[in-house]
Amino acid sequence: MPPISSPLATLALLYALIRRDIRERYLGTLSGLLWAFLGPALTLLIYAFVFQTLMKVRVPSAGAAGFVPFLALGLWPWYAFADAAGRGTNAIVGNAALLGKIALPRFILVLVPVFSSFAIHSLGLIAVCLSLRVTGSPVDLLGFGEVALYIAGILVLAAGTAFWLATLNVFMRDVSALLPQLLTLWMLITPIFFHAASLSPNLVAWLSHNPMMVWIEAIRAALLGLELPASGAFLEASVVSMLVLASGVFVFQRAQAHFEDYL
Amino acid sequence: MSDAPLIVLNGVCKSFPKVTRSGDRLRALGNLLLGRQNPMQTAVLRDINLEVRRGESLGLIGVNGAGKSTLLKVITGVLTATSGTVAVNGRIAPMLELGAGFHPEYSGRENIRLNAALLGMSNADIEDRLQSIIAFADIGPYIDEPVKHYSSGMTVRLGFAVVAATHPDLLITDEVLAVGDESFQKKCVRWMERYLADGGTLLLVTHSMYHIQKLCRRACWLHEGAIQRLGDVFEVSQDYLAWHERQSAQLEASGRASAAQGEYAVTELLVNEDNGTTPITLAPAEPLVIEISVRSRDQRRPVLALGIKRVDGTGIYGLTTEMADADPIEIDGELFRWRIVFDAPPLLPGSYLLAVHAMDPEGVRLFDTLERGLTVRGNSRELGMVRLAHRWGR
Repeated sequence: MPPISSPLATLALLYALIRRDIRERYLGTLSGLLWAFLGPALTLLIYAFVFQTLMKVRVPSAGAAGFVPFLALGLWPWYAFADAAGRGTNAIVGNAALLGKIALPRFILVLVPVFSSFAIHSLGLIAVCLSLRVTGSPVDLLGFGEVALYIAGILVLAAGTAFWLATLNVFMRDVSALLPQLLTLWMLITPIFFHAASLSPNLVAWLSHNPMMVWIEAIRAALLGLELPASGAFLEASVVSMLVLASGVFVFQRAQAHFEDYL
Repeated sequence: MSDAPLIVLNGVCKSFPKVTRSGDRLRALGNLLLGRQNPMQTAVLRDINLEVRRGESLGLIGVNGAGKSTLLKVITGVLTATSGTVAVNGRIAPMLELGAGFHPEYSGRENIRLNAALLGMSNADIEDRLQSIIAFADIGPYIDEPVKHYSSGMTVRLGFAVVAATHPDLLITDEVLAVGDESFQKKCVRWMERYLADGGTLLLVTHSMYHIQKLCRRACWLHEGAIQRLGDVFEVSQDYLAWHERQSAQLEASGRASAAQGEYAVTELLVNEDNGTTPITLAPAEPLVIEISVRSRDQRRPVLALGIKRVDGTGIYGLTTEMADADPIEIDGELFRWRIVFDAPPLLPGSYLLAVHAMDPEGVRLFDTLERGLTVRGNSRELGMVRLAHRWGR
């Protein structure tokens, strides 16, 4: 039995570890937490340059705001998800030394990178929306209340994915090697760089089973005044996200007691 | 405080799974998810039944690889038992590796918070005790320096200070009693003594019998993953030491002189009227009566040498019949019989060997050797093999 039994102490540990995690990521950089915003902002600039200036991609349904806000509102939520799932994958294997010495609730180690990624990229999303607003884009800042709900949906999906991948990675280290390719593929089939409306309806019907597509489109709808996904799609995305979390927690709980034998 | 035991281990076994091929790991995951047992390879702990009550400190002893650390890990919850149950009713503080979880880039103060959280302290507790932890660690202005600039001693001091602040019901330590410099060691020992006096319980793994006997009331000797002996600390640790000595003596025993067919041979060795081969048990200062018969083919009177040694062969006391002009009883010309009495042998508790040697009448050549084990019981904390007569003065 781990020494940590009270929920209060568990929360204290979660908080301390998240703080450490966020500090650790930006420790030693010149601008510290500013990088949380600068990194994705630079990526956004590069994508905008490549897609808009070089390739002259037109997204007719991007709304009045144009391509850059459209892209930005897809990119930040995706970063939150990919970062959480990616770093969650190594949460157990990467903490093998700690797990071998101190008994602590192991699930915390998976939740830490998930929460810290969401904290960082949510701040980034707010920052980017504010700067878009300042530069004159018609971003509806009142939509943030609604957006918080969709971000929560992504958080559930990301936590579930992280529990799955963290467990699998203990037994097959190939998971962390394959992860970048897997996440890239997922990113490309999620309408981040394009609008689903520009694809054939058949393909969209397939792709819309991806909860990430629904959550991102909903965020864009709330902030840019685009069309909200159908309520059926919402329901499916919610159910799938919850199922991923529930099954991820189940798999993790089943295997966690024996992680130490395979680390 | 309740009367329930702090720890109850019931039939605990621990094996490490067999993972030789890469496919094994995948199958292992599948089995875990289906709740099936994985094929096991090495059994590290076998059927451990153990109970530790409040205030009843337990020492774990055993050779390297006996499973002591694995047992500690199973109790702390770092490892999960393959079968059997582990019940812990209290707050455990593991001191398996002091400063585990410290982050080298962070200051001592920040690491205290994090380490305390890892040990299960809530934020309010941490704030309350931060000052006393810093005072206990006593590393001066270094507390605000990153831990990577610390000496190893300072890291350990900080680690000990955090663990000490958790007020554990059970303290688990693995050879870390003596940490830091002289003054900090004293502080640790003082803290440990107060902790034990206040009813704290200690689970200690150490190779130092001195510490075990000083700090624990009970001991558990683990051998090849199973409990060899469990009980009073003095009995178990003496048994364990005796086993060790026998191990090293066995190497020499193979070369033991066995010239029983020679000119002079020991035919009988009676110790306290017992002529068996198993070790004789003595209470402290119990008289030791030894009777030896030696057969002489040429009917000349042989010389008898007699000695008491430690099981590893270190001599303690020896004498020969020649020195004392001890006269034997002669039985039909061939057999010579001696009797010697040690009224109160000053041997300290432990295991010894009594050896008798038959020599030629000139006392030059050794013809035969016979040995008998001797175990002295008792709870003396004196060190060494014999008690030297002494008196304290002013």
